[in-house]
Amino acid sequence: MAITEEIISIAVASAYERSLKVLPEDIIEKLQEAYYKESSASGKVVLEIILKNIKLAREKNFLICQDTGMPRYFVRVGSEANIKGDIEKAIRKGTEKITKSIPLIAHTVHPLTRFNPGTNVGLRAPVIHFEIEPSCKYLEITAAPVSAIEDRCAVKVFDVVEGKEAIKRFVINTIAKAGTVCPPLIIGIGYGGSLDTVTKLATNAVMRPLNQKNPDPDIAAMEIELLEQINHLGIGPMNLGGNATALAVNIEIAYTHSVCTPVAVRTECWCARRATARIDSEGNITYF
Amino acid sequence: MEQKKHLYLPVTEEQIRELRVGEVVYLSGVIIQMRSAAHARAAELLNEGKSLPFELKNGAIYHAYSCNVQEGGIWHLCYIGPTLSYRMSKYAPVLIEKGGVRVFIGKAGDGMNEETLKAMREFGCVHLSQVGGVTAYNTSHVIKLVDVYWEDLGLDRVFTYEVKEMGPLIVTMDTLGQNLYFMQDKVQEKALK
Repeated sequence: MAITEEIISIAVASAYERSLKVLPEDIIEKLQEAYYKESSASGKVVLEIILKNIKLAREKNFLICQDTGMPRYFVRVGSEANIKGDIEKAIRKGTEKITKSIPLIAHTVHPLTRFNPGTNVGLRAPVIHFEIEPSCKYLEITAAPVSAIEDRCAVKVFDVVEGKEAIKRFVINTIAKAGTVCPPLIIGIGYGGSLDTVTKLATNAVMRPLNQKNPDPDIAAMEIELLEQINHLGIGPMNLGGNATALAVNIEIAYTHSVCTPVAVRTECWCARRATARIDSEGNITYF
Repeated sequence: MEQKKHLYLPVTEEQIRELRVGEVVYLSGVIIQMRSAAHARAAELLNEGKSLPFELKNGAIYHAYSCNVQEGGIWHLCYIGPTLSYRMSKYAPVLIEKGGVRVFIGKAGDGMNEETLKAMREFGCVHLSQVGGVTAYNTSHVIKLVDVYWEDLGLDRVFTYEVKEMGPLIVTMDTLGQNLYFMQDKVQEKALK
């Protein structure tokens, strides 16, 4: 049996809806940890409300955040998957359907004229990333809406002579300006690669479960060091002061040019939503 | 942060002047959702000495983003949550001085500008911060959508809602000229050194 456009669009709509209503467990665990560790009174109030809200959204089948984002999907296509039809078309259809049925505020507009078709679908929108999954028969789609907080993210290309201390300073200075992004933050850093891949690395870093460290011990140590420094900035939950400025710093690296090193910092809010639908070769969908 | 207060709209100047940054407040009554275009229009009318179709005096303006649907000519609220107040700063002093606004509610993270803080001190008004990104929780405090004004403003149309114990709202700008976010900026500058 083939994976059809219709099955894909159902999976897309459900994954997107799920991402808006159910926060991944690894993030909830870090938020609970942050609540117990928080020393500031206002920080504690904020974290308590965040945890209450996550529970309430789940119980009432309600949205977690009112910024339901610009739709974005990460598609992993099994190299042996039998797909009938156009994946992109199916994604657009699923997105339109869910935008109308919940309903969602359509955030997708023309960059210059700000024309809003009202469907969350437009030229090169939703954002779709494709990857090939070798020796697999399934099609997997992760929905991860883009919130209106990308204005605090930053990218810079460093000369090799600047060294790693300059890179760490760049990260800390970027976070110091991110108090309006609804801390506690989840920080994704792309380190290396090329200018065109470094932001994708930072995105992948944000998407990595918060309880997983980078397998490279030197990078894992850098993650811990940066998290500690960031949590000493005093920004705290919702910029009201406190120690829970970030829940995690995840770094993803790629080998880079010997002369220069691009670095991207993604300042994601605690509500870093992601939900995945996997369609097997029989057309059955599982969500996680 | 130890004290908790309940405020009922319309409020009095005295109640507002008692509030201090860091305090937690819960608000009940009818609030007015206004975004930037509505602020601009309100300021223009007030500057011309004209009246508004809704009452700002002793009231609360909610800087919020919401999803509303119209069914059979009647507006309903689907979900709502605060947005940053900073972009509304330009018109806020007029709304405070000539409109008599006592409370602005926005998303925690940033307050409003120096001119607004000055008007708050002079005429008696505060900024309260609501936790952002918690729409299930924040929507649960809205009892009902009361009315709609200036529908021609599209997404910036003005809605009024009846809320019950909306909060916790943290006082972030008070009538003594204190701004919790300016204080936060100093903490972070020090940490960066």
